[in-house]
Amino acid sequence: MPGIGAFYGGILHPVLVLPHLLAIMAFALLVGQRGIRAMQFTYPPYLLALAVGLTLAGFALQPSMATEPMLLVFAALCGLLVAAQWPLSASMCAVFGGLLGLIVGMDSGVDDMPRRETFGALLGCWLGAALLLVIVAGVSEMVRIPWQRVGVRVIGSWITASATLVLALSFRG
Amino acid sequence: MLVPHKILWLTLLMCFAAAAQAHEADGLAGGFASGFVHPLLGLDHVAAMVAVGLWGAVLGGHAVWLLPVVFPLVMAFGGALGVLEVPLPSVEVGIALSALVLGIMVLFSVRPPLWFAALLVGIFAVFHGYAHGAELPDATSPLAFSLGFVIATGLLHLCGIALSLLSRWRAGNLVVRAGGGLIALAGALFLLRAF
Repeated sequence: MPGIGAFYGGILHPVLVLPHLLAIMAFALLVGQRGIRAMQFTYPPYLLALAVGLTLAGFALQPSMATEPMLLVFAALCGLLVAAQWPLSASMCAVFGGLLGLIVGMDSGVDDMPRRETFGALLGCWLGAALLLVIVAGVSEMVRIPWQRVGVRVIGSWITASATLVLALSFRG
Repeated sequence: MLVPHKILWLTLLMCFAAAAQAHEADGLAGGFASGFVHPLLGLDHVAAMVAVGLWGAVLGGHAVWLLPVVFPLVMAFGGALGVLEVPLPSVEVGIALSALVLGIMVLFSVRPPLWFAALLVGIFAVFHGYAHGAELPDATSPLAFSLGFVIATGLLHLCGIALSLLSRWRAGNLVVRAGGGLIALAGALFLLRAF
């Protein structure tokens, strides 16, 4: 993004790329719903896998497969689990976290930048994706009043609906 | 120096000047904005969405949240049918019927079992989703467009739920039921127009 610098551009990257935003938000809502224990299990693999994915992206070792449908499937699934308030185990949250971190990281490569700016952009992206998960999961965990918990479930259903529609569009070709 | 009549003419000309568009609405913004206004620009959509919220609140208990959660999920299924161009007959009739039937439910405070209410709302959601989904391929950013119309739909449900708070007192209850009657009437007009 021109004018804001590589590092800040990296921080904003997970918020501005909608498939990343939806997948991370849906997952964060799910983790927050499951509580503190799930958060403790999820953050380390997510952050580590994100760093690994970004490092691979920095060396242009990105997957040849389309990552957007994968992220949308992930967002739709997590949104559905949030809407159903599904009691996903903490270990499954950790597996999901590792998977999501890796996909988001590998899909966040930068083109035609000097090495220093590339490092800044990737570091910013790691920070942005980490903050997004931690903040949304924190808010989701903090809600206690029934209507607020219903609100979280409604947002989950919105994410699933939106991701499903765009997935249908990708199948249409 | 400008003489008074010139100032008058210049002022008059300024009235016909086009407004400057300081912010472009393309890409993500355009997709989201056009998706957000899509359900709001169709009175049939608005009436039915508000009725879903009103009816959920009239039913009370779990229905308040169940119907607004079920609706977007099933609407996505209908939207996918629209995107994939799977033929669905009488979409406009289905949308008009949704306003008519849901309005009647609110008008007479009909309280069927929760599963039946969810099933009925789900069937209507397919028609609404189909209509939105058919527009999706032409959107600037399909994901932003879909997010926009899903959020707008949810906010219309919220409007219905908020309006239903009036039913906590006697006169307010009459207003809510009259609102259901108006929605049903509008639905009947939409239905006549659809044929």
